[in-house]
Amino acid sequence: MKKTVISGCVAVLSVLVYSQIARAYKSAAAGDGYTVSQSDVYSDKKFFDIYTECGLGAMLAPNGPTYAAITNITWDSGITAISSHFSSPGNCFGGEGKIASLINKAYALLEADLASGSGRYLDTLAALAARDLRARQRFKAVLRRDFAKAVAAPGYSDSTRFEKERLLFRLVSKHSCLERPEPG
Amino acid sequence: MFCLFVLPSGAEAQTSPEETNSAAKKLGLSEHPTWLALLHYEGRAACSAVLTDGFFLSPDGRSDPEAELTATIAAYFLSWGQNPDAQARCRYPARYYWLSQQLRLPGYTLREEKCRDLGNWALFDTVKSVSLLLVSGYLGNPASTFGHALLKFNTDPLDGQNGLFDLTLNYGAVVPEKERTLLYVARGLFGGYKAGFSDQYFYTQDLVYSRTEFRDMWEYRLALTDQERRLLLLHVRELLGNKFDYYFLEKNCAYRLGELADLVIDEELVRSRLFWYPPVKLFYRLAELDRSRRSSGRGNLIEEVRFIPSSQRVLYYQLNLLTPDEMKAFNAVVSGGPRELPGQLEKFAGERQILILDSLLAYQQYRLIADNARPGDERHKIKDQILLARLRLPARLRPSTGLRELASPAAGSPPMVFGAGIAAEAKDKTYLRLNWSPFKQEITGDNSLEGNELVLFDLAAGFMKAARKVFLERFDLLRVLNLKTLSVAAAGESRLSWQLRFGADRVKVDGEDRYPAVGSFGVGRAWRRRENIIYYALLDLSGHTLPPYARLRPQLGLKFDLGKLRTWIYSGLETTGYDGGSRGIWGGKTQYLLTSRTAVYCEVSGEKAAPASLGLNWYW
Repeated sequence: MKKTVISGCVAVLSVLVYSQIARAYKSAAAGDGYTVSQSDVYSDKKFFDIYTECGLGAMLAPNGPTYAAITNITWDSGITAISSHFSSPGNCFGGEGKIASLINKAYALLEADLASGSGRYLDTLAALAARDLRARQRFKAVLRRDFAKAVAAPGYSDSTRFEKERLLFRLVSKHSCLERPEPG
Repeated sequence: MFCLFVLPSGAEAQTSPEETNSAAKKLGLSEHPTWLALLHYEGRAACSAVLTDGFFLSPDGRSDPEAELTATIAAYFLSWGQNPDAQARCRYPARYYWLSQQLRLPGYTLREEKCRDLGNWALFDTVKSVSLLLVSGYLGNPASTFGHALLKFNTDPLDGQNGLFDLTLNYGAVVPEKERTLLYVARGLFGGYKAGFSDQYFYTQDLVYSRTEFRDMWEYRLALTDQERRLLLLHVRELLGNKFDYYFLEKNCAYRLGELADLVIDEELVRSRLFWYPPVKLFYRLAELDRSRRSSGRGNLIEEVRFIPSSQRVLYYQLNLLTPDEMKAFNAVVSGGPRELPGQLEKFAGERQILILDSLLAYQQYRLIADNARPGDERHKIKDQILLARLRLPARLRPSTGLRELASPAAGSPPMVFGAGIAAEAKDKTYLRLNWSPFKQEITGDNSLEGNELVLFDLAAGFMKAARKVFLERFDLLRVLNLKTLSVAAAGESRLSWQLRFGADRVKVDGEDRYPAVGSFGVGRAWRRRENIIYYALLDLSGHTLPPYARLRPQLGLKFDLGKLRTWIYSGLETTGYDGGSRGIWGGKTQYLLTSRTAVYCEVSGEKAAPASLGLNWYW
């Protein structure tokens, strides 16, 4: 029963996400100033794949607290795929999977660290996205710059949590050394 | 390189399951403590604590360690099949790692390439050390009140990931959603839940414990050899997905994690589970073993103890960096909303604006979590406006907060106490007083955290030889004192301290002993001066089973420490009726720590049947 409910939620979420992607394309075509590049589409698709295949969606209770509550007596959600690599698809571990899960679970902390330009979670994100210290400093600076533009853009506050996470993942993908397709 | 096992010349090469099994029998491996620990045979138990059938290779494996060993050896020699990850060599890496050090297993290699899942999970090159973490108690959930324990496999601190992706092991019961409270309590205490280990990245634990439940943590990094660390890591892999019986008092997180660590620690880490094994006990024992090793020249067990403050504690210290004027501006924005920002910030220089905005943002996010705000809550938009204001200013490293490190609760006395002493009702009426509690962190105790109290089932009985009388003197089912000395004058943030008690006292009514039950709750304020002085003012409302049934108790209290001497005194009033009458109340206790396990105490009271008592407490 529980699996059926989760599967149903994932299916609904899939439709919603794809409709968001389609809307983005439509907006671009309508010329309202929102431009979606090919690499944005790639990163959006990648984020969605990780989100659904690695169980991030199920960890984000739409009506629950921001973070899953685990105490001495835990609720066995059975979802450890993103962390244990135990039985997860290939893209759940490794750089992109880790980045997506960090953004998904610690979005508020990343927001705060980006705001100040420093902090443990931002430093960790930079370490995942860039190879050496200098690249990480540069990464943090440009990510902050672009994140500031995104927050200043109309509609940021009205965006859903998923949309915000996707946006941040897109920015990270843009400035990181993760693989992405050449613009074609 | 792990242990080089050099066989004597002429030793047999074991190339078949039968030969290997025969060698194992000669060495008595099925009765070896490590083999029994790998199968989770507990003490002299006749069977394993693991409930999952799939954990055993032999149908008799749960009760016959020799059968399990035979089956394990036989499985080693089976072909890899279509799915190598399902082969026993990949599923039971710790068993074969240990066996490879006792026997010659042909073709054995620690990093078997065919075991891809194991290779991806085990992080062979990146795990550098192992830590046990003590999580402080959380009053928001009865099951979490007495703390929690975690096990963490630490990666290289220089990899830039700040330990957030360290593999962390949690142990807990599987509780159905919307379980009824009474059933939850009964099954947790007396059995009925299955439990297991789960592995997560450390940041998920940080998010929950530190940033949602606002709990402090202490990380005890263990001094293990490479082989010990490897064996522990591989055994954790074997255990994931398997189930155990859960008992909140005894077979809980501390017990199971301690049992795991016992696999690689020579001394017995988990022992003396008299009635209860709270998490702090595991760490007390860890510290005890460490001291023992150091004093006997055998090295150390603990490399380092690191304090990990809760996000609430960090926030409070951060807010205390603001000047009074800055705090005023901060509160104006909290109360009035982001539209106050321009007017409030313009009074300050750029760097101070940055500090105020960082504080505002941190406070908004803290409140969103503390208040469990829904996604559509207006406060998210307020937070976003503050976020934007901050993003428009330059990036800056957050200044050091000067946060005072808190000593681990395990650095003090163990939680269980037994005491014996003399109490006096009058000059010629003294009696023997015995007291016992399975969990006592009291205000004058060495294990009290910041002057707070958490006492469970505190029982004191008197024995009057002359009158041949045995009587109950005092009983506290639960006593909690939460003195909030670390607080900030932030709008909307509670600075209240509180206390709670359910119990019974012996009082004299018309010369007769009476035992009225008491339930009381009080709120007030507390302050700290320097490190060693706390004073508070509380107003209690209590219910009694003797008239007057409802009473008000305003009181002032003072606690001060002088080295090993801890003293607490209180004074106040208690209403004697509903007509406004009252009587004075007073009392106090002083305790001197003789050793980490013993203390001598003196207690006086103007409201109890026995005004004075003197005795000795033993903690274990």
